[in-house]
Amino acid sequence: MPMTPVAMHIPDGYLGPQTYVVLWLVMLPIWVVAARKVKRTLKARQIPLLSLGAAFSFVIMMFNVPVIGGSTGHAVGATLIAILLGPWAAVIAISIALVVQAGLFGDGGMTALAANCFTMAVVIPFAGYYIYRLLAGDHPSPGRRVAASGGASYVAIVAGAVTAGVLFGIQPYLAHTASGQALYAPYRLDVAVPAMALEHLLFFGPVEALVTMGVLAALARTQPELLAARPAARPLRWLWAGLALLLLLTPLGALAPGTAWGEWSGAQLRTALGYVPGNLERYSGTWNAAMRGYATPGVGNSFISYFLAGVVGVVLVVGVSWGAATFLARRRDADEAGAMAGGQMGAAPAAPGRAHRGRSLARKTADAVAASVTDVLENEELAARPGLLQRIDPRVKLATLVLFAVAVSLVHAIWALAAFVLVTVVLAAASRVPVLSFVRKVWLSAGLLALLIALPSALAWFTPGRAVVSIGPVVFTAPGLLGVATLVTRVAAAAGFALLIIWTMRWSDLLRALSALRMPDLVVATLGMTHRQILTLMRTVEQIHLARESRTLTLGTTRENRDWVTERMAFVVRKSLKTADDVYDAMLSRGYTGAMPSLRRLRIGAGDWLWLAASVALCAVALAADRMVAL
Amino acid sequence: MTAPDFVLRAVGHAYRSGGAALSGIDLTVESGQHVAVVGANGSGKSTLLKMLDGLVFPTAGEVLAFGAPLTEEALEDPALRRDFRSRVGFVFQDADVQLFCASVLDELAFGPLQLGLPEDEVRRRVRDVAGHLRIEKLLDRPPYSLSGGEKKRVAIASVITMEPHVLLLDEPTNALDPRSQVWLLDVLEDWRQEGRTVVMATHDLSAAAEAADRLVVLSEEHTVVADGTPDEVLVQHELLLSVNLIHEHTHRHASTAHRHAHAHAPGTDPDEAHGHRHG
Repeated sequence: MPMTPVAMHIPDGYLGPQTYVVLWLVMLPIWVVAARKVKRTLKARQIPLLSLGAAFSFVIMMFNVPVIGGSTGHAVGATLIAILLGPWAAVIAISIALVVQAGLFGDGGMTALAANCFTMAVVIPFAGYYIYRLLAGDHPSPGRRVAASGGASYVAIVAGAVTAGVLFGIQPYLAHTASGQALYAPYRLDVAVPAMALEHLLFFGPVEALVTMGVLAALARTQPELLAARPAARPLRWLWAGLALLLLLTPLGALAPGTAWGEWSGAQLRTALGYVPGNLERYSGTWNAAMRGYATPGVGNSFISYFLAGVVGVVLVVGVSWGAATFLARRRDADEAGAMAGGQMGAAPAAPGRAHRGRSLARKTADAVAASVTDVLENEELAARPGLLQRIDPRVKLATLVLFAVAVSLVHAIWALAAFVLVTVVLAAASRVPVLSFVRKVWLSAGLLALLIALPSALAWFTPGRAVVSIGPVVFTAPGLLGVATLVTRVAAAAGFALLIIWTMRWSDLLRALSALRMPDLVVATLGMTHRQILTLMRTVEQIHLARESRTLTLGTTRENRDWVTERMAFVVRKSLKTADDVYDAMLSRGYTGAMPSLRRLRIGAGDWLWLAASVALCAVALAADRMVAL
Repeated sequence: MTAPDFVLRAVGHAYRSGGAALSGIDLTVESGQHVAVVGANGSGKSTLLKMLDGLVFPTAGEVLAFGAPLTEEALEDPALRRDFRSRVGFVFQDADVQLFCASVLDELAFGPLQLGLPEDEVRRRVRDVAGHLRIEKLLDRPPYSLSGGEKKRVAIASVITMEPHVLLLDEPTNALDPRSQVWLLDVLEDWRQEGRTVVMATHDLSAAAEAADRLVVLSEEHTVVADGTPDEVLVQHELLLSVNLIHEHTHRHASTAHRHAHAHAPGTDPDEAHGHRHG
């Protein structure tokens, strides 16, 4: 299901409610301010321009960018969009792209949506935009512009990764059981932050920089006015303060002498924050045990041994998550090729990836894009079937499925989570969704990824406790394994509810629901148009790649391929902007006045009320039972 | 006597980059006329249509619509804008551009709702137009899932629900299969019966000759070089050749090669119709 295994898309289940609720509260005013700023600066053309920006940021993540030795990565393109549209417009455009990714393909969670928007639609575009401004200066030459964009996008994506790492890393401090078993993301700051930073410093950062530079260079050649249009802003003073803060946040901070990042005692925290985050003090006993667990035999000095153990942990996590992402990507490739051959959803899985290793880069991208378009169209078909959930009013359905996702994030016991997984399967069956495909999609993507990433956290190194499995020096502990199982079950339950929304709700109904739930016209209209533009742009991208495939006989060097990819991305930008103008003309021509009224009226019937009551009751019972047993 | 729908006096339009799109255009479109603006790619047809729709404004000369100046300032007045938009409809060349709503129903209702019509009236129009264009079954579908021909129908329907007196069509037959083309010609004939004005831009001479009662030829220098009935214009081979609307064709008949100008215009006599000029 996740189309792009970009490490930064946080799925549901990894962040506890204390974290994601705070991020929703942080994001709401940011969105309001961004919408106001955009209204002022982009004027009436805002909707088509924003939706094209969103569609572009979505599509850019679909391009396979060749890096080294045949490996490919995906870029986020957030800095690029901030440079082209300005940072506030980028906030809206990328947020909308993330909503579409979550709502259409299940990339990134529902409850975690605000967290994802914070890292990718706020931190990256703002960091990227202002660093670009600083590096480019007032009257940049084309060369300096391109170089500045490379440096800015590299730093910005690492900053985004560090932010995500911090969000992951604070989970163990915020919530765990008395035995030290993790309830959400299992790695603490000293592992999560360097792991996220390392992946992006070494891999995704260079990909992002190459893409940003390539596209900007191509645009500077063909359409210099696009870049010259924005007058150079004076670098702001607070920007320097922000940069200094970023430096403090970098993983180096975690390795600095003194108290390591996130390793403060309760007393230190009390002085710093004025309070102690929930359960922290109760946890401190276990915590000290964990520190003891870090002692590496033969190394006397406790600081060095701690340091070494930390490094090993980081390397382990990076390696495993990297391997997991690669493995899943290969599986997906095979699935796509299989789906293409079968032309049907739920077709038997194709032979493992090696059968397709010969596929060229262009073919690979074209197939992936075509498979995504097919996915979207098939989802619409599923959503039109006469099933249980399809009959529910879209507003009620959206509200209850979100309620379920929230309940899933609140319960602690693994049996309660398992019960929710069962509920998703029952609902899928009642809604005439092919149950096997449903289970495969949930477990083979979201579930398996969570398992592979979390498994090392069950080692005594990370989670001390009663040893259950020991293979030589490798010891898995009971609370560690239970923590992994809890995370995987939670992730699967949340992914199940998200997939139910995707598979039983037509996009137009989702928009109607959002509109009826008082979402501003600007957002609903932009979402609707983005969806359309994405499908159009994806067809363009597929054709671009097929056209190349049909004209090339050799695979080309990595560099040639990369130049070609960035050149094509620039083409997509130009096409996007041209289309934005045309769509706006078409809207004006039909008397567009700024509002998007609709004829559709929603009515909540008795069945909807019944369903609502049943959902609320089910969640309440699950929560109560979970808490009672815990006591 | 009522004012003509459009009067253009010495109209020119230059792009911001300095290149000309139109120059020295004098043109009057009377109510109920079916006018085809023909010209090669880049001759300024689309710009001319956009100008008639108040989306692009002249950098020289003036445009009158229904007897009143059509300017950017005039359209800023809400009442005037509403009046103008309800009278003039534009079907864009690329249906993908024109279909921006979540469903075909929303698409058909968009224009009338923007005009502030009561909901019952909007529903009645949507039902009538969908029935007339035989797209009732598509109403619940999202526009992106439609075929090219269906998209064109929906694009046209989304304009007709506004019941405009003037219809501007940009390359209406482009990318349409033969059956859809015939359907479109029938629709145009209906509009003629209803007394609606049609201005279409095309480089398809055959469609232009069939659907319009007046051809306006734009040269590659962005000026009007011919204006008359299809019969008057289509016989001017040299002119049509010079504006790149027909091309020289070399054929081999038995042992002798000959050249003739070639354009696929319909007619009774196949040789006439194809503009064959033996020699």
